[in-house]
Amino acid sequence: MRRWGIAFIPLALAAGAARAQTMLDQEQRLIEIHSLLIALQPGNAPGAYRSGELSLGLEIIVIPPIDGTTGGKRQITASDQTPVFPRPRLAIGLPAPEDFRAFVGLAYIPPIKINEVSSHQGALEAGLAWDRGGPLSAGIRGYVVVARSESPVTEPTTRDTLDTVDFGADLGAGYRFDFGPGSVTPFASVGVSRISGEFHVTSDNSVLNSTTTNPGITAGVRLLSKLGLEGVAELVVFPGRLVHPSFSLAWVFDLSSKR
Amino acid sequence: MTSLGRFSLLLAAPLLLTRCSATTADLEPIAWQKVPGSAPGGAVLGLGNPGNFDERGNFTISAFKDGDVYKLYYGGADTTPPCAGINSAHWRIGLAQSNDGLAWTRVPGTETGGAILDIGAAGNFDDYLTYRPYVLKDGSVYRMWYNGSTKPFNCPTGTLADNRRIGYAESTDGVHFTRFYDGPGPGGSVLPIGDPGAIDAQQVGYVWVIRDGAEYKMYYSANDAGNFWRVALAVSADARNWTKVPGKQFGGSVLDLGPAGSFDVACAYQPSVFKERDQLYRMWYRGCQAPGAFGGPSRGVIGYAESNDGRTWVKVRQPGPFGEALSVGTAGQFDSAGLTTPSVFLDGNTWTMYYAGFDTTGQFLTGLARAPRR
Repeated sequence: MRRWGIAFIPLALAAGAARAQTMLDQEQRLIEIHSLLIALQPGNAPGAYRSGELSLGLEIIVIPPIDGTTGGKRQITASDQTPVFPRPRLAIGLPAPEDFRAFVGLAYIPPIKINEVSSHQGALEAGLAWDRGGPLSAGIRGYVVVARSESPVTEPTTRDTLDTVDFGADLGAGYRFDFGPGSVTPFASVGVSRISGEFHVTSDNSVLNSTTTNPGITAGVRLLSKLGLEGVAELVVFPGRLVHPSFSLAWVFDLSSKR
Repeated sequence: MTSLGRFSLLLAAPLLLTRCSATTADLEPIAWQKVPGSAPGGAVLGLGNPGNFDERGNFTISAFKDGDVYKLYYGGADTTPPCAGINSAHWRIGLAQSNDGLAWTRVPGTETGGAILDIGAAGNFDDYLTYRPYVLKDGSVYRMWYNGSTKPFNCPTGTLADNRRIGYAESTDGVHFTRFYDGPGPGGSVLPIGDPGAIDAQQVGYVWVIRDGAEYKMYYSANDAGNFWRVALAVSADARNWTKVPGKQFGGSVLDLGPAGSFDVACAYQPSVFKERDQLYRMWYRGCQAPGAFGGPSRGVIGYAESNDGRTWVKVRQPGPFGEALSVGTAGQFDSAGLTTPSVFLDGNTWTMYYAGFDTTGQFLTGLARAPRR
């Protein structure tokens, strides 16, 4: 266990943030953090699903403490509102050439307002993995997220809006260990996420923008039972911006066997 | 350890991490350094020659770079009796020029004592004090806004000038200015004063104007009946006809006094605004830690604020002992008692701030601070 903990530490240390020159830098950093928080990270090992397999899951994204200090003001951040937020995810394995696996995935959060906060987002992902049936798999994946979040940010009594478009791609690898009741697959990936955040300050009728390209590292582990229950834990690192874990629980079944 | 146990630990590993974080990062403020000049106490502009309009002091400055030439417009005090120092002096406006920003040469004006803008004719709102010029080179026109008053600064002692108004003049060469008394304010001044109880019910002055796209923004100092100064905003499409725009802070100000104990609890005014890029407006201003002996501003340091739109401002703590951007000088320096009227611009990759300072004898002179742009 200690070795695994040590393995994660360099990823976490990479999140040290460069100093800001202006209040605007800090405000844009907040836009970036909140946009990266909803980036659609791998959430699984490459080639996790065979053709015809469907995964219905719920991802729990953990929000780390976000310091909302900008200049002489403190903004209300996501972590002031909730420690986690859920995101339903669906993935389906597609037909692919021999020794490969392909999938597409969807995620969607309806615009339900809870505690003065709502986040309406939709996401699409697709990936292709090399998998010869052995323990090792490697793959490439791309995603796009479009989201609108409304919540009090600049003042407790207003509802400001963050419009976000994220897209990115990553390369990942996983190694599966089979055991009695199932399998466990540690995986890791590296990639980039391009985020464009547009923050509308309701009380000022003004807009702040931030568009950045962010390298990202993800490391996680997938646990799959033979009953079709799947659990995934992963740590997401965007150096200088954000380090946070997410967890998901899904039911995986084979559509072809149900027919 | 069983395989299942190891797998459970793997799943839990992210939870065990203590460095999950997201931070906006600490600010690294602009690092101002005072640049000693050759004038007394390290000032960059000394006293005018005897008999000149500025032989008693120079103060309330604004500066900018016009092509390759630095131009410093300033208020100057003569020796009109009976009160000491600059308290009963007439204040007029002068100009100095420099090739390096440090060594200045006065430009002899054609007005009294070499001033470029004299006090107004008797009966006008600026017939005793004409000072604190702010000059905006706007195409081929030099637009000047200035403070005017019919009263001496503080004479008899304890009787402060309380009717400052904003004047306007234009020039095509930056030296010879023509006044206009055609504004909607008292005596044809630029801005009307506010209604009783307003933050600008008593006086207005200390203007800074920027051209922001199709709009001119005038940041002006607003003085209430209690003699507290704040920053307010007016906008215009032609730089001549202004509309006050209420801000979100106290009384419609865009920059309010600070809280108890702050360096700007007694005054926050004399703005110098620089739009660095879209969404980034910077303001330096004078802050006072306590009212003067007879009310009004006293001593003073330079504070700093930022805005995304030029309308909503947030003060940003700076490295000075009280959070100020520029502090008073040490004993013996020309600015050992207080700082006023910051005037900031970007000179290449160097932030440049001219300001007026005064020592414990009440002698006012002009100083310079610079900082690298990061």
